[in-house]
Amino acid sequence: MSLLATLERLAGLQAELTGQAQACLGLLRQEQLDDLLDVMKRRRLLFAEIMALHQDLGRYWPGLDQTLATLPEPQARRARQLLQDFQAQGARLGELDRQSTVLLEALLERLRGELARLGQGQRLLNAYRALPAGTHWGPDQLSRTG
Amino acid sequence: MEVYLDGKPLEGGVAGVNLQDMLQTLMDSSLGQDRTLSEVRINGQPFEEAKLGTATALPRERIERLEVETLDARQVATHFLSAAGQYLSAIVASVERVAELLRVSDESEAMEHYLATLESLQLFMQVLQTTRDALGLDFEAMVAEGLSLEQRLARLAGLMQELLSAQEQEDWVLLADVMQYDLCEQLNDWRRLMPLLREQALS
Repeated sequence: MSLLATLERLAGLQAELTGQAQACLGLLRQEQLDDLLDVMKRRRLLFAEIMALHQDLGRYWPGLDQTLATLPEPQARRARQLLQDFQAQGARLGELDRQSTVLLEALLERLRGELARLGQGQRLLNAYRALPAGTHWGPDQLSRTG
Repeated sequence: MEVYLDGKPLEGGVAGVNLQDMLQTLMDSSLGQDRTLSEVRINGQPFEEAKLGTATALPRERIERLEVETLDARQVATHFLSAAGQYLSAIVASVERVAELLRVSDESEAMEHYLATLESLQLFMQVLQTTRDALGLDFEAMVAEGLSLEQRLARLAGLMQELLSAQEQEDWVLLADVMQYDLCEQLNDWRRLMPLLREQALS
């Protein structure tokens, strides 16, 4: 694929990725986690394709200016515009993902709190349930109430 | 002496010459088999052997107010099973995010979220195992898609080891691969199995 074709393809994919990042943020805000996972699954594929394109583009970076100079002017202008757009879109994408990560982190923290509470109650239950029927409590058993 | 069970006064009090006797009587007479103690308070303070001595050494005369809180094993465990899908979804989303950060070589941010994700997963597995024990579920006998739940649990534990090993070697590509492909797959399997597990637990 030519440089311009690769850049055009990348622009399309990056726009799609930004749309998905926005969708992820909205779904996280509403805590619609099953839908979020569906979007993230699609995003994984998209992300892999974008990474592959970036790797492909890597061969142009060392002499990018020279390569652009070999293109007809309208194509070179378009390529420069796309490169500029990537930077802006990259920043937007980064901000959306940052917000999603903060929400996800807060959600996980809350769930960890719930799990810790459930686990504590259950450990108590299991400690006493493990006692044989008719066992008379000694100091050791009682200390399990912690 | 006042005696309260789950916040309600216990009419007729409870017999016994010391705390141990009294609690035993309470367990035998007033608690169903599916309930057990979660907390004991003496005169408004949580019972602690270090402060009050052993239960046998605490005579009835020193107890003005005895409060006993109980928990229902099934209630706690089924609550967990109802919410487990949501817990797993959040963990999977976080695993995906960490893997993505690793792939764009943002290791420091990835590690920050990785640790929180790992902690959440460990906690989930602990509660899953205590739920299994509390409800007496036989994970060996519960088979789905050719694997028992016990085998799936062991597979999760194995993956945790793989993650730690990749982390120790600072092999970020391997870490991202294990998280995104193996771990996500396993966790998604558990998400799908949770309704079945809950059904079995309630039956």
